[in-house]
Amino acid sequence: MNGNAAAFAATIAALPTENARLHAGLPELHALFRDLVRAAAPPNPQFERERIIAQAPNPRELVFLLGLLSEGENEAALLLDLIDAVVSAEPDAVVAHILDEAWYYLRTSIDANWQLDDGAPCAGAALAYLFSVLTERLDTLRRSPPPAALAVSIEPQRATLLRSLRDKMSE
Amino acid sequence: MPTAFFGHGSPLNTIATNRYSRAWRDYAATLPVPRAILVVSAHWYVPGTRISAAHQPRTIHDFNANFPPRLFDFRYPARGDRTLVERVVDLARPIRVERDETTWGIDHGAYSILAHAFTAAAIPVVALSIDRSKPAAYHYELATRLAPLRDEGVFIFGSGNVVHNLELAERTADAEPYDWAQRFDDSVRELLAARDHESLVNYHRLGPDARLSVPTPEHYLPLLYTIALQRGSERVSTIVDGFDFRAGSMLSISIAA
Repeated sequence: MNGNAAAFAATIAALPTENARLHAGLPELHALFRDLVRAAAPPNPQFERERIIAQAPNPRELVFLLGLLSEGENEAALLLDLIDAVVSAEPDAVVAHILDEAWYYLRTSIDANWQLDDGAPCAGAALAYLFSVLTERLDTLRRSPPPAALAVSIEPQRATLLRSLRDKMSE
Repeated sequence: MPTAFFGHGSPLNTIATNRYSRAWRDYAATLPVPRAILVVSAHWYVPGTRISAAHQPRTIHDFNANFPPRLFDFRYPARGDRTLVERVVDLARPIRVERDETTWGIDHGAYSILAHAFTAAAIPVVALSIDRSKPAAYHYELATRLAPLRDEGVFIFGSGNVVHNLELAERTADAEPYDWAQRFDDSVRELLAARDHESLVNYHRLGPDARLSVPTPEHYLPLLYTIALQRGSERVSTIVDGFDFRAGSMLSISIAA
């Protein structure tokens, strides 16, 4: 675990309840999703990346789409958000079944045969685990950034193509 | 009107002819012709209780690209039924059921059965989602509110699998089920026969076999929507049973007088 991930885990561990850990820690996980998208998107000066990334409705899904989050990790992250949303709306709501499901997805994302566990699921540990693995992936991406985007072609035949299409459709 | 739970198995059952699809077809032939169909499928598992309200619900191909093109070409062109939608919204109160005209339609949990049981797609179909944020008891309670629909000619069915563990599935034809899968399937049958709905709702207390058989709840919960509709003198009968891939129970049951 790198320094940031260890500090994150220590910070949320100091909070008194599982729900408090999720509520305080999830915004940092969401910020990490946006950092991953920034690091994974090819450099392109014409791309208004900050606006697009900042306004993306669900950066987690973009990270999943980019292959930086496994299916099980994606489900676990989704379910931690769901727990936080449910408890925020109704503090006494039963959420143990959601945490069970998140824990299952996280376990099997590591090993499909890890089907039973001796200990109870722990929302804080699940969150700190996701933060840790995603921090590692962010570090890897920053060490080897993606290649530049495909150059936009401005060859002369492109002008011919556009003019001919206009001529056809103006007939 | 009887009510049923179907173990739907692989999406390929939509276009297959096998002992499961034949049993679903033969069972439907014994039913009075429904006025409409209300389906609770494992594959509409989202936060919130929603009901498909489109006039012409879409056929949803909710599986990965490894399945054959013929399955992606499949369409189930049944109409929706706004009258049934409004009736469900009313019956469920104070539970809020959100009308959904755009995001969902008829998924493979529904049409893998419907394609064989109601081939002509002439009966309107409405889907009810499973609220992912709610515990099992909520689903049972919601379903009890829908019981009057059975007297109004609506065929209500759940579609899932009593045992469903994809991570441990083995794609070997005719392999024997895992011991834990068979034991859990047997336990569920015994609880159904004993009408022990409390144990079926609290399935997570049934030990390690349950934890392996129901690692995530979405394929099991449709069973609760079916049993919650059982009336005093009604009995449970088996439509078909068996296992696919060692870890997928194909048990289908009917509840009728």
